[in-house]
Amino acid sequence: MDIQTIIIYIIITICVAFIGLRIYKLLSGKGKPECGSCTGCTLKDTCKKK
Amino acid sequence: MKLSELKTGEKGVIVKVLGHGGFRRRIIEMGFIKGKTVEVILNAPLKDPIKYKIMGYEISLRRQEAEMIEIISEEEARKTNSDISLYDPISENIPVTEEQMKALAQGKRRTINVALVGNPNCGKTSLFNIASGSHEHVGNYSGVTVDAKEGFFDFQGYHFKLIDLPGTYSLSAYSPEELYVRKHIIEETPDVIINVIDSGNIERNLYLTTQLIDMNVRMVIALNMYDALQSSGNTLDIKKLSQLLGVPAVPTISRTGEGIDELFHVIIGLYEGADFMGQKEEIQNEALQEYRKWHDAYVPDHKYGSHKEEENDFTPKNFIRHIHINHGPELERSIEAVKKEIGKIENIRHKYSTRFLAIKMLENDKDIERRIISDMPNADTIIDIRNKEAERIKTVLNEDSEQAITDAKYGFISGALKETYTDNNQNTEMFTRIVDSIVTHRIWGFPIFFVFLYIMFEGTFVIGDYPMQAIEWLVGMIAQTAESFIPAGPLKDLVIDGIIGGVGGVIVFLPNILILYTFISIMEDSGYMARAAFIMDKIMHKMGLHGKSFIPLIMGFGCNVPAIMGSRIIESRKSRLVTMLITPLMSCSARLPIYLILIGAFFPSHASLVLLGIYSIGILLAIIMARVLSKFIVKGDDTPFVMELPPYRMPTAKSVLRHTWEKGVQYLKKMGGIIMVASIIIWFLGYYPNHEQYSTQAEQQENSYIGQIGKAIEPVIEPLGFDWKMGIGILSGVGAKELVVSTLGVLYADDEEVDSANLAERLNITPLVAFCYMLFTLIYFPCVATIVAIKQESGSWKWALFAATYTTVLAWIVSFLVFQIGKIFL
Repeated sequence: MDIQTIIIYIIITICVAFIGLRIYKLLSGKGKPECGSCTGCTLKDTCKKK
Repeated sequence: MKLSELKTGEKGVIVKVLGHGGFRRRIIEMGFIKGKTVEVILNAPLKDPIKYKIMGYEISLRRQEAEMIEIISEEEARKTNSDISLYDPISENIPVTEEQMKALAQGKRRTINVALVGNPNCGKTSLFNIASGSHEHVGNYSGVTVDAKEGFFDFQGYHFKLIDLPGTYSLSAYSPEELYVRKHIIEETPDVIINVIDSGNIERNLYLTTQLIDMNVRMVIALNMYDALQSSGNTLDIKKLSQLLGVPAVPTISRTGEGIDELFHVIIGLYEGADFMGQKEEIQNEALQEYRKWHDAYVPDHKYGSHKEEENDFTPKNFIRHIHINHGPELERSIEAVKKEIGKIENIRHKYSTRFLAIKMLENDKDIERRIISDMPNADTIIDIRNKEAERIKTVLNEDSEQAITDAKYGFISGALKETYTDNNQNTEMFTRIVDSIVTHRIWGFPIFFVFLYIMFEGTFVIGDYPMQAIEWLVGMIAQTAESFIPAGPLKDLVIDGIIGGVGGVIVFLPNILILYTFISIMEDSGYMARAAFIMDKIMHKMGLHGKSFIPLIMGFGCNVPAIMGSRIIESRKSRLVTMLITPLMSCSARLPIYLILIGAFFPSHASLVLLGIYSIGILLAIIMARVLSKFIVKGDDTPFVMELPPYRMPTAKSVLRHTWEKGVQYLKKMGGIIMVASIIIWFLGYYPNHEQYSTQAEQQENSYIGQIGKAIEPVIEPLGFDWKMGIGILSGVGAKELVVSTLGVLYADDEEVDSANLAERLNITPLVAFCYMLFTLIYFPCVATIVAIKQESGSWKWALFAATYTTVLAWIVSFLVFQIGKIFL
């Protein structure tokens, strides 16, 4: 296995861990769902960030 | 006397609990209800708090809290008894039984203190005179420069003490009248307030009502001079208005006395009802039984449930609910901030509504600041927060907080009247009314709304195209640089095909998304969004929803997650749940890149129309699904509520830019995070195993991990005209919709081109398939974040999974039908 392949495997492992952690956090309720907009929350004063 | 005046070891029977709002409710729920015996167990060393025994258990109250409970003590009872037994020389030593005390408390309780509050010349004094027609005493109170008249009369076994307060337009601190009225309501805590309204001038009169609602007092609205309204040809849906305001309203004609009986019946119901109903409007049977028993015994001609108002369902249960006047997001945020700080001092709640104080502080009310706030230990912090918030409001709304609050209140009133009041003599001079008469017109309203949407999409396409080309060029340059610097091998393929192909394919749409957001912000800030919701109201009602549901739905055009969170504003659980379930059908901005790619390639001559069509199909499906869901799946009753119609306001550049900027930052963060990571994984699955063994890229991809997954799902998507690569796009879109394009970008990448702008050329499909693919991505499984948001807001995985399932099934059915039927014609 060459060095490039090894780097790729390391990157993939990190990526899979990142996604796994993200899903775990979402499903366990520990993280808030990713909010792609501020307009909506600000509009109805439901934004939790502020 | 007050409960706080009892000494250790003494007993008393509760007559009534004064105060209002949450504090009063809490005291009642603790068991301090009328007719209950309470005994002082001990006083703390500093005489605060005091321990009481009630209903067999011990409970501590602060002295200030105990001051709000009116009781009859043994001594008072004995004295009252001795008044009756005039000839008994040792009457003062007669022991008083608990039963006797309870009977006396019941009698004393039958005195209801009522205050009349209203605008000048609304017929308040006429109402006072006719109500207290057989008055025994009229006294004068002298204030600074104002007078309050006091009258007494008996009705239905109750003794009414009526206070006619001076006429006032608001409860601000501008005039002595206003201050006097406000002080009376706060200091004297009347049991019930009659808010007298001139029916011929409802809009202006309701302004005072909104302030009374802020104060959280028990009140009834007397729609006085109702005959003038009727003869003018205007109509008012009183029942609905009552429901919207959370306050019972009764039409009255002071001149003839019409409606006065009904008004006082409602007052009795309100006075008694507030004690026999718990926080969630559940009836506390014990208290209700006592009330009925007493009424049967003392008012022989009364049969509970036989009154006109009860027949008309005019019982307090259906009307009393404390509402909060919605002042709009910015103001509500400020009110909440000031209220939070005021609420830190627990004692303040006994007499005042913290929300009312917060609003008054933001209105820069010097009297409240001087008399109440300055005595609080955290006065400086409260004033600091107020100043900061007032400054913020000025910047964001471009007007001072006092003016903004007034505007918001009139917006609320306007919304309430729009639903309940028909003005046949419309004054069309005002700008808002002129614009409203056009944009909310029953025929023109819809075309105007769709023209607005069309302009929005046209702008997204046309204006967005220039910066898009610039970003495309930049992505191309980065790819070329990477090509020349990184040595050949899997790492180079990862960077060029995976990262640049995936992320670059989506990032080019940043300008389009920012433009879409700018339009949405302008719609929201100008006040048109509320009108859009308003014109949809009738349709939404037919579909089992309220027009207000349309606002979260339009917000869904931006992102479904905040839209689902925004559905909190809907009070009825049923409407809220249905709104949440149909929100995924509103096409979020993450789906926009898919449409832009496919429409740009397959429908270039009618781009905006096709885009408008896709969004409209989403709205149409949402409406149909709302009907289906509210009829067959989600059960429950609807609660009516006001849809605010704020005055039109020129959107400030700062506010619009802030929203757009925030969106841009979010989008870029997403690109650097989840989109990049997912693109790398998709690339990896498409690159391995055995990358080197195949002669062509197509062959290699078909045999890769992702090719195997794609082939496995191909039978399901084949009837829709999709190939396995498109299927993988759909699968990855489950994570986030932007991934559909980035996945296609990775899967369709070839050696010559890396940027996804040319992706469409590499997709070997017909326009029909492209259209079906857009339909499928519009309807199917919303992203994971949306599903989690539904779970959080509905409190159940059941509804989240239901949303995931029904959208996917619906997407398949719709795409299947369109493809199969379209194939016949095309």
